[in-house]
Amino acid sequence: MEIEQTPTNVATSDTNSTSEYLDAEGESDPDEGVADGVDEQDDYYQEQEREAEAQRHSIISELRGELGTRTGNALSPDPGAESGQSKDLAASVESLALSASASVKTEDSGNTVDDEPDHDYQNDSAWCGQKKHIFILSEAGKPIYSLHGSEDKLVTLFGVIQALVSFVQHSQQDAITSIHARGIKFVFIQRNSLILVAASRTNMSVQQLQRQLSDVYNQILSTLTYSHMSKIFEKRKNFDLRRLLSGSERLIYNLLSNDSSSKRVSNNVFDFLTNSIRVFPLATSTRSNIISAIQANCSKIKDLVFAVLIANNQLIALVRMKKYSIHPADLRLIFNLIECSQSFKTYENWTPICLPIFDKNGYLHAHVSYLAEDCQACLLLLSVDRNAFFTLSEAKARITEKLRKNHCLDAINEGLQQPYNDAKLYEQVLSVPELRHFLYKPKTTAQLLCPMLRHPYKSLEEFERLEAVYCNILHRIHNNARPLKLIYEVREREIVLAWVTATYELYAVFEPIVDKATVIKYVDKLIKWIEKEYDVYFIRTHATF
Amino acid sequence: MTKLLQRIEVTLRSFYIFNSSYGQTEGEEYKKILYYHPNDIELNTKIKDVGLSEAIITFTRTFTSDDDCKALHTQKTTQLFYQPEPGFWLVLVLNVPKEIKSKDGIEVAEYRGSEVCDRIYHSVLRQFYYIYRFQYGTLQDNALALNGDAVQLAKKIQEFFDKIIATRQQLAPCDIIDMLHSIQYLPLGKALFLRAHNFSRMLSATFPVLKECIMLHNDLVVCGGKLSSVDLYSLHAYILDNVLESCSAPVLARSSSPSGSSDNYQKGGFVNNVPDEPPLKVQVTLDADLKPHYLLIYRVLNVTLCLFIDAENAPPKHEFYDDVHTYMGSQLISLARDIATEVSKQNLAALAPTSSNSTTDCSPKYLFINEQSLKHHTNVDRHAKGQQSIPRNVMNLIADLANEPTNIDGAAAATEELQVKTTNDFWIVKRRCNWRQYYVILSNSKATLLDVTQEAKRIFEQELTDDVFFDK
Repeated sequence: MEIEQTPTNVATSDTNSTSEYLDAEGESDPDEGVADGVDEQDDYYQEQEREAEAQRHSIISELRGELGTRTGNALSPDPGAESGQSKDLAASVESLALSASASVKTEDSGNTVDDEPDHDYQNDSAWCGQKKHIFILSEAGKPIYSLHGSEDKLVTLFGVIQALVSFVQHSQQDAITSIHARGIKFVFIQRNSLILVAASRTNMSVQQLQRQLSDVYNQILSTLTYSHMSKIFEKRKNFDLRRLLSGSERLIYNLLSNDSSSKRVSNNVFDFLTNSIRVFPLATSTRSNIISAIQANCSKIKDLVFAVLIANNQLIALVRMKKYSIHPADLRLIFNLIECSQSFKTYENWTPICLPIFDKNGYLHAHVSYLAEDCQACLLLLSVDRNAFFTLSEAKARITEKLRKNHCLDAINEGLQQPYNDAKLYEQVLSVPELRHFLYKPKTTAQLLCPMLRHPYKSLEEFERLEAVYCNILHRIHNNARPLKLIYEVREREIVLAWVTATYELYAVFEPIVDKATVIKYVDKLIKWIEKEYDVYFIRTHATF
Repeated sequence: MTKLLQRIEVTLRSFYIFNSSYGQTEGEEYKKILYYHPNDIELNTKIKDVGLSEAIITFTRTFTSDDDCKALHTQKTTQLFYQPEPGFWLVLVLNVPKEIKSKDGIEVAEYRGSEVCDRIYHSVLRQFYYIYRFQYGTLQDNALALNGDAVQLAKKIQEFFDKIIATRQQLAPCDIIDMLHSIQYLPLGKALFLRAHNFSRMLSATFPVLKECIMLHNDLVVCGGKLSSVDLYSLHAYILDNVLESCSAPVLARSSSPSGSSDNYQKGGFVNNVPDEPPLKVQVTLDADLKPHYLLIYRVLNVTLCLFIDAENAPPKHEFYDDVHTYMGSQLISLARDIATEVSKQNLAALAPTSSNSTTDCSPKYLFINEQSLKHHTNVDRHAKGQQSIPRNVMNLIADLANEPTNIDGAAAATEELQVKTTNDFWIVKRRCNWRQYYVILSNSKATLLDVTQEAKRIFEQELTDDVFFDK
């Protein structure tokens, strides 16, 4: 039903629609200026579409796949199909000196009807000068996503990228990993018919950027699942994946804006850099009460794989089925989802989600809701059964009851209200004033402890510098070719210590005027304190049902 | 179960020079390629390779106006780019180290791209250019001289580089010394050093047409004069390649014994490849401009003297050679003898105490680099094998840590101190201050941070105090 409606609404704006596929492009452009009804239709359409994805048998998704093929052969320039803007593009294409490879000019239906002339990104110095660009395109050169700027206007750039990658792949049986130029690095990864490129002026190393691109790829998988995507691309190489991803761009955007390139000062980037997650500090008894509440109410439910309780981007508790566990990269996706979606706060939600590292081929169904109006902790119950909504809803209600009775909700609220993340940690950090910031990660778990950011790292500039320092030492310690065990560096503005032992990794930043013996003394003191308070800040093993 | 079967180190895959402005028209792309090694590859492949490099350079231009693409890493290769003059690009393509492992009976190749230290090989690439420029001048000038004829230019470049590449195939052992283009100076006592210095100053004063005078003993520099570090390095490389090894160059000895065997430098004489023709012209920067100069080389005993005359003057005549020879002959011989005696004394002294340590490699090694004069001083034996040598990852780490020589008029260099412990229990201590970098390498697995600092301090004080009397 939806399919028939949208063409009639939108096709009026494009007189040259040689095929119905343009309607699909049209819907993603909000400045259409056609009937207002279109917008509501779009939202509804997108909701429907997500449900359809989950079911995988929807006529809609088949049809959409069908429509995607008529977007024309990616390799042949076909200006007639568009409304003429692509002619400008054709003129501005740089001819590559690749005499042997097919010069890919993907002026295909990626261009929608634009109400402004093509934005010439190559001359837009603001765009060029952005700290971080992420581009996602399909192997056939179809644009899928661009962090800055609208991806359908970057078709030539994507064509160039695709040509470079495929040239190296086919004529040299090799794969581009990275390009370095003064002040900027380009990192390329290829996954399952997608090419992901990062162009970065930030301080992240090649391996860190590769991990970021992997995260983005996992986010895409999380929406679509690996098998679905492979099937689509197998059938039609030049399918336009954007249609299936509309709505998840904000998730990708949020995932990528965790570091300083988005001008936010927060501890989130350290989670990513150390490939771990932070744990919500709670007294051991409170945490075990919470866990037993969850266990008691959920153990009878079959097909419930994970129960995750999150607050403020930190993990409160995780209960899992025996034999299964969640990888930190998957947890990052879950955190990202919760952080992005305000609607979860008011309603109970039932959403399909794929955890790529857990199982990249199937959807888990998540019941997501906040515990209570007055408690901003979010509970996710992940099940393989897609009809389990009501069972899980009841379970959640019972859990909230129990937690309220045990005063655990109060404890969580108290923790959330602390301005400095945790009073005890704050005190400890203050007792060593020369210690400015640290990251502590035990080797046995993928969890991280870091104090709140305080002076001088509260300003964006200083925070960027701190991030650069951490990126640098983390890269040097974990370098594939030349790993290190210890770095002690005295710089102009701080002393940096990185120390890897058999049980933990510690990265710390001190005032620059402290002498070595004092630094060692402080570090020892800190380690002892952490080990004493270990169970407040870390979860040793996750409980099972 | 994986087993390491074989490890292949870094090798040179290809090296080429191109200029896009020479082959703009369809069908003439081959003209872009000014040089390509190895030469026996099909022309089409060469064009494709050059095309890929051009495409990468253009791609980076999209995002940055700095025309400074440095490197392309693929899974199996590393390509390094260098643009010494606008439009002319030199590209060095390396095959990354490869390890062939057998996993469950199947042979799998693992490419270790991250072990290639970009900075080191980028410097090697720059060296190629500098050596070319030393002998022939800039590519731009050469092109102008040939009226922009790409084919002729290519021929000229080819003759030169074929020789150079042949001698520099060994890329695996390149390390930080190569990276910084630094040279080891001969450590001399104060008196001898001043004598040598005075000698060259007097020579320049007596013969004003001599612009500069550089003295070498064997392959170590005694006094470097005011030659820029880049030129000094190129000169040093030239001498090593052409003079010290060439046993067949006739000796243009005037008043001494007839040519005979070239080992017979007892009385000293000029070295010139072809008698009666003007001497070699090289391009060096004296007085801030790159200009051609005549290079005269005079050898006696183990000392080589390089004299530079501005090429704007007429080439020196026989009388000039005679005059110079007469003037300095005997002085130089006695100086050379004294230096030789001192050096052999030093060698003996160095040998004696280390004979007991030769089986263990626990003795700390150090490396000192003066960024401004690009002089280095070290007891690391770069060509040692087996037990004595420093593991490759340590040398690569030092390259990572090293600071490139910066402009002297730039902001004051940061002062830093750094201690690093590697996974194979080597400690590297680095101090940087006043444009001088000091590295100490210790291999004591039981040492703690404080111990290492103590030990490094001791070595700094012991070995690296005689900075004052070095040149510049």
